[in-house]
Amino acid sequence: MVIQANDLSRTYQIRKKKAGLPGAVLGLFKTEYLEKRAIDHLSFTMEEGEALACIGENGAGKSTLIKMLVGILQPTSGSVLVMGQDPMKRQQAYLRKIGVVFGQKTNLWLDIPVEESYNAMRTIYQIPSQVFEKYKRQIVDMLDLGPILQSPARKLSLGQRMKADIGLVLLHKPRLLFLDEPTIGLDINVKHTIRSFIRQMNQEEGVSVLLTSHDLDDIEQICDTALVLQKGKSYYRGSLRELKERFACQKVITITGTEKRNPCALYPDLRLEREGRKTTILFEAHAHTMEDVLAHLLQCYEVQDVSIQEPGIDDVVAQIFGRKAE
Amino acid sequence: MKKFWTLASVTLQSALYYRSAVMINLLSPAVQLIGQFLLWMALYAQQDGSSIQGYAQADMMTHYLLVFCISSLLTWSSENTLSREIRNGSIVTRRTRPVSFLTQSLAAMAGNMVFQAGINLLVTAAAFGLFPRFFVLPSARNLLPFAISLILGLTVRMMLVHCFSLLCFYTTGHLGITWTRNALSDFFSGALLPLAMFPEWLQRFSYCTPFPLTLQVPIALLLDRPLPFSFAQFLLLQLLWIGVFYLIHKAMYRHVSRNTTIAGG
Repeated sequence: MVIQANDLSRTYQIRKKKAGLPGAVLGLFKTEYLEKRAIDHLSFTMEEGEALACIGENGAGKSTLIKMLVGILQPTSGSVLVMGQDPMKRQQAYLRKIGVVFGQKTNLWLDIPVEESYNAMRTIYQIPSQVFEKYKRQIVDMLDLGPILQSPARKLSLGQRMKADIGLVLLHKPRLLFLDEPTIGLDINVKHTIRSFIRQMNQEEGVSVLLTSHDLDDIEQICDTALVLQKGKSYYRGSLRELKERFACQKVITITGTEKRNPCALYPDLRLEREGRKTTILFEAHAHTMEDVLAHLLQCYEVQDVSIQEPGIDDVVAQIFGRKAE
Repeated sequence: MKKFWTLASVTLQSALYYRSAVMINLLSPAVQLIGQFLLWMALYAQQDGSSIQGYAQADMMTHYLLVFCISSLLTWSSENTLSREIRNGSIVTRRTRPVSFLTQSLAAMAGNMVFQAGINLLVTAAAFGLFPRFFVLPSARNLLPFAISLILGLTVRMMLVHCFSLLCFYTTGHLGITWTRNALSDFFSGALLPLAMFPEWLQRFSYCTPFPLTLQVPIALLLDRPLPFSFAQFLLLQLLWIGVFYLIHKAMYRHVSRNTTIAGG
């Protein structure tokens, strides 16, 4: 077990300020605080080699959770063990076993070439030279970092910097990787490279991954399991597949062909979205089986092509958090 | 120590990246030095060359030359850097490296100091070599005690700067912290005036603080100026203050670690 969190809570104190200039002046003498509970009695475990997605709306407590697991934020109550150690003690042996990427912050030294930052990691993490060189080459090849190794990080684009950052935190072969919004603001190609790389590290090197992301493609392509947080509490903990099955309420069939009769005559609750000869049919999973609807549609259309779409994680998240999927 | 020097080297490389900033930072202490020289030359001219509080003109010039050489090594960088990291959140990176926070802080200061130290040494050596009549050439037998006292004095000063910089976790006013620290340091260390020029009670008070150990004591040892304690006693005092600052660091960092809120996703 890599993570064991028991009854973990974190409350923030937010300074309350009265409105306007008088409020600002008054605030110099009298301070009032509001309490906001970011994590609320959360218990969960994570297994070795697992790729776990932490899903939730803004303010659900995802980043707070990662910061507590990394050891840079003290829990208000409860306890957490990561690889058998208390992260708050921040022992060097513990820090050498983890890698942390916060999407909007960099681990690189900005004013020196990326390669110099990489070389510094060799000493800081006490990596034997031969192991380091071999692993560095591997990472540079996989993330296509060769052309940017000699550039100072400050001169890199966001995507290049993020690739370099992810390479940097993997140089010491961490057993557990914390990724907080690692693909935020990146273009589709860089996202793809980063996702493939992290997935490969997880599958082939056995690196455990705890990921938070609002990009649901990140979650689907990297993770197998999910922890859904709602207002700091655990709403769901299990596999992504089960999450979809349990919460995906709509199923989708797309048919290309000519309509012979209106399918809604027999199933009035079907929702049709027509675009030329292509029709997308949506229906509530709890109301009909896929077999029944498909058989009915084959009678209503002269079908040229038919496809059945698996529910996406975005549908699931939209369902859980009560929004319409975009 | 390898980690320390690696981090120091990285900081030095970063500092050298901006050429114009490097030149301005290197030259600005020399401007201050020239100002001090001109001020004291004018004051001594009014005294008809006689000494002031036991300091002849050459003694005073040598004092300020050495103050320039040592004092400008650690000025603004630490609080400024830490405060910037706290405000933009990159402090997270420092706290997730498997190197103690103190080591990282001292290594960054050492890295920033190395280049300036080299230049200051050159300027000082050139001044002694080119204008020997304006200065008192130190005796070679004082060099070893000076070097030992200087190394310990710089360590005291780095620890002091580090402890002040930890205050940046409690306020966004890092400039106020730096100015306060600089004012205290300049006044009590002998950077502004040699401590011999203070009234006796103020001298006694000054030697109760760590500041003279960083500047006045090494300089006085080099120039054979009278000091209230022996060389060995000063070494013990320097070690004691390093210990005191270490304990202060431990207490402050423990409090900081438990109470820091790293906001935002």
